[in-house]
Amino acid sequence: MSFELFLSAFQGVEAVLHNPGMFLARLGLIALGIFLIYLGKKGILEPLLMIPMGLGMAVINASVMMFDPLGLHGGLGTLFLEAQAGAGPDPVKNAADLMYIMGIDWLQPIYTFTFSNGLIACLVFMGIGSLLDVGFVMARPFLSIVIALFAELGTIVTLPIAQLFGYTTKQAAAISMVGGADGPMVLFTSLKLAPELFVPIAVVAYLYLGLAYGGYPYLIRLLIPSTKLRGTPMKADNKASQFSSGSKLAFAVVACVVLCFLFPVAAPLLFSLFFGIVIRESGIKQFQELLNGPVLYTATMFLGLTLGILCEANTIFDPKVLPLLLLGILALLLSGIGGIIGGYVAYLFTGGKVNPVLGIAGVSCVPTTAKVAQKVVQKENPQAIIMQYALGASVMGVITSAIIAGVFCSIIK
Amino acid sequence: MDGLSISLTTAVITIIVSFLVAVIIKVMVMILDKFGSKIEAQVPVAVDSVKADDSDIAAVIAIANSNL
Repeated sequence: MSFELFLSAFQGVEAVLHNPGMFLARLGLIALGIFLIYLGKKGILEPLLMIPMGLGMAVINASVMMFDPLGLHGGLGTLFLEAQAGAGPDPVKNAADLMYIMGIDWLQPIYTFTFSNGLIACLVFMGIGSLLDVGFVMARPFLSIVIALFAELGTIVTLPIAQLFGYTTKQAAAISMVGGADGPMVLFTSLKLAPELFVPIAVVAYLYLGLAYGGYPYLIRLLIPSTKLRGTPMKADNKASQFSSGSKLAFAVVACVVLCFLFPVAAPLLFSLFFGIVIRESGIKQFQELLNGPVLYTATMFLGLTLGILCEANTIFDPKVLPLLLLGILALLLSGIGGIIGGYVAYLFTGGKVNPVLGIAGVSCVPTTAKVAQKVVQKENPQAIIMQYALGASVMGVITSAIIAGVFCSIIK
Repeated sequence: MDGLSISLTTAVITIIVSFLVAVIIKVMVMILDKFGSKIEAQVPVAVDSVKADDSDIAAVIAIANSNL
């Protein structure tokens, strides 16, 4: 048997010999993917996202072969998806390329019809909306809004820093949205402002959102060293339950219309969030179960899987992408710090009635950061329940992120 | 506009719009309180508050324990 015949039987080996340098990078990403699965299984990172993402990342880097029908990657490719298909300057060639690739790559229809147009982000938001109780926001709108505004520090500060790294204003704005810690919002803004960086921004954002889940408790302990302060009890109140579903429905409809009127560019995402809330409050059980079950979990699963598949070594080790790794973590770190400063401000202005840990919930990753805040507080003081306050801040964080996304898309031309 | 100006402009607009949203919520809650009280007065208060407390606590526990 000739060596060429051997290589054609094991195309993975042939791909390694074609570019041995990149193989090391691929091995690193395979190891990272397996590590993400481990962290997801252990519950250190969000398993719903990390397990599909980790497996996707490991497999896509193992499945590289001599296959590059569009001539984009120096002869190497996979049978999963081609993110660059249809992204060229010629619309006629784009359409032809897309149709061609759609018939070959099995995940291409999911990527083209749900991921690259933001539909998957909207579906996730509909599911999240159907789980949200806006009563928590209605009960304490000003406390929630102050904390949420502080927790946008990373978004605001990262934009000029990203420009210093050589990114254009649009790209810098899309990158800085990672600080909002709101996955669907990051996808949406990068699609609108910097589609050429959509894939790496999406990958970095979701990777770090998973890490934030594990890292924020350490940040809280660092910035709020006093265990007594971390365990500050907050007055148990059932204010949120005082609102009837009719009141919450009326609020959701008015807020949705007003925000869509102010920020039409963010209207698909705002509509999706409030659609979920309206379905929940209108009591249509069948739709509610559909949104917070099959729709949310199917969208989350394919989101994680597609993100993992996009973590191919060629994409991640692009020199233009590497600063993103730094800027993404900086944005989330600054937002966490901003949120805790907001928590301290609320603590001081209320004479110690607000637990400063609440600030982390303003980083809008609903309901993850609210859960992080509750877990940290409960560890210090098992009697302290701040979840209802934290959810209010978290929901308001989504709204402030949507406002910032709308402002960015409107003023940056 | 440079990045710093955009950041500052965005921060100012976001603060104004966020507080506008908070004011809308507050006004709506006041209006709903005023007009909603007549309807809610027909419901026995004790039964209603027990149900409401239970559902609130249940909702918080459900979210805290969820995998999302």
